[in-house]
This record gives sequence, structure tokens and C-alpha cells, in this order.
Amino acid sequence: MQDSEANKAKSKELIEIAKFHFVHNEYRKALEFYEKALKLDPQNPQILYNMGIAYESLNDLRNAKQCYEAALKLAPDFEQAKERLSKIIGTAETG
Amino acid sequence: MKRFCVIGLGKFGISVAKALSRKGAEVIAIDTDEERVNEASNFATQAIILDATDKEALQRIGIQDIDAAIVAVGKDMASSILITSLLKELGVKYVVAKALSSLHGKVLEKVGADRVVFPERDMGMRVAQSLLSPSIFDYIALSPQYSIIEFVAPQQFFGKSLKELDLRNKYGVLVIAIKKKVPEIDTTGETSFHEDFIVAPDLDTVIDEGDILIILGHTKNIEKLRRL
Repeated sequence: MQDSEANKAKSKELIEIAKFHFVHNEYRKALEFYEKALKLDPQNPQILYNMGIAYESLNDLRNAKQCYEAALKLAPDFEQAKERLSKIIGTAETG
Repeated sequence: MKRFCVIGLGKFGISVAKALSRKGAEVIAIDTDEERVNEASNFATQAIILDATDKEALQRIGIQDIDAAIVAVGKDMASSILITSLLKELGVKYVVAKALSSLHGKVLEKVGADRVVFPERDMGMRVAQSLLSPSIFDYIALSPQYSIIEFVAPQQFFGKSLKELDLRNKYGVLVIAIKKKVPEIDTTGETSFHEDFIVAPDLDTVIDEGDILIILGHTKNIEKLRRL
């Protein structure tokens, strides 16, 4: 139990670093840190959502879609993830 | 205000009629099917159940006074050809006709269509293009030789300005716009982004990872660029 709490705290730190890289347009670096954070806290839909945003920023819609879907599996009411996913599906249909 | 008449209210006809109405044009929507006409009555200026192969019926609704007619009749080629020829005979200035095949298109031109469109073929080409090259998001053919594409900036371009890249001289293509994603943190603390659309970009504009370039050029040159 303690381990899991410690992991979550460490994961939060990694997410903050990832977000720092993201806002500086360093999407791949951001993804590296999100991956590490996800390993420590695999049930966290927010990490997957933010990874989706980073993949979208790289125009990698396939991976972005997978991340949003995985986030929605963990949290089916995640509105932002639903919104992004429907946008991507819309792009694929018209493009 | 411009007046249009859309004949045939299948998927294509309905979307043309809707788009014209949305832009503020006067639209007369025609079909023989009551249900389709009902659907069009929600947005069209006038929606009429009418057999457009009937010359007198067309005259009665004043078809000769409209600015352009769109013949979007679905699968019945004979009707679409007959309607197109009637419209020209009645003096409609501009007739756009939807063709199902190239032979159909040729006949439509012969009977007087001012413009023939191939929505299925054109959409098919766009989908094929996007499947063949995932780095190309969208594609508009201007002519068989020239097109405009949405192109994901390749790695070699990152951190370089348009001046340094010199695509005009090296590849014979013109960057007409750039879509840049601007990362941000939203009100909930999650990451997000919005898109900046830079039209006629400055030569000093630097290309970053994630940028999408909108490029105009000869299809051959675009093909060369695509291989990067």
C-alpha cells in the first residue's frame, strides 16, 4: 500500500516534468516522462489523456486515438477525452 | 441574392443545398420523394415535390430565372441527362451536373452542362491519397498537374526557416500556409493545444515538429517532397 502511494507521488512529479516539456513544444520528451509516470501509476486516465494530446501535437493520430480510448476505458465519463476522440474520428472520416 | 435550384435530394444534393442556404443563398430544392423534400424544407427557401423531367413543371416554377441549377439526381443516369438538357433548353445560365462515371460525364457535357462534378471519384481519390501517404492530411487537385496538399513537416525541416529550406528553388513548390500547434495548459490543469493558421508565411518562419505545411505545386514536385 505504502509503495503504491509512493509510486503515485513519484508519478505526479514525472507528469509535471512531462507537462513542462510539452508547453515548450518538446512533445517527444514529454511522452518519455508520461510513459515513466504511467508505469508507476497505470490506472491513471489523466496520464493517458495527456499522452493523447502530445501524440496529436505530433500529428500521430493513431497513437493519440489509442491513448484516448485507453483513458476512456479507465474513466468512461472523461468528457475531454471523449471530445478529443470524436474529433479524431471525424478527421479520419472526412480526410 | 443569388438563387439556386438543387434537383435530386440524395446525400450529395442535400449537402449542396444546405451549404448554399447556410451561406445565405436562396435555394429551391426539388425531388420526387416526399420525405426528402420534407427534410429539405427545414432549410431551403422552397422545397417542392416535382418531377424535373417534366418541362412544363419546370417552367411553372420559373426555373429560367435562377442563377444556377445543380443536377444531383442519384442513380438514374437517363433522368440526369434529360434534366440537364431541359434546363439548358429553358435558358438556365449555369448548370452543374453530378456524374456517376466518366462516360456519363461526357454525355452531360454534350447536352450542355457547364460543369460536371464527380463527387464519388474525387472523394475516392482523396481517401486513396491519404491512405498511400499518411503524412499527407488532405489533398485538393486543382488540375491534373497541380494540387494543394496538407503535408506534415518531416524531421529534416525542424528548426529551419522557410528561407533556409528554400522549397521553392529546391522542389518547385510554394508554402502557402502553415498550421502550428500552440501547446497550453487548460483550466483543469491538463495539457491542450490550439492551432495557429499562418497564411502567406514570412521567410523567417521556423518550422517546428508537429507543423503542417499547406503546399501548392506540380504533382511531380509534390511527389518528390513526399518521399522525404
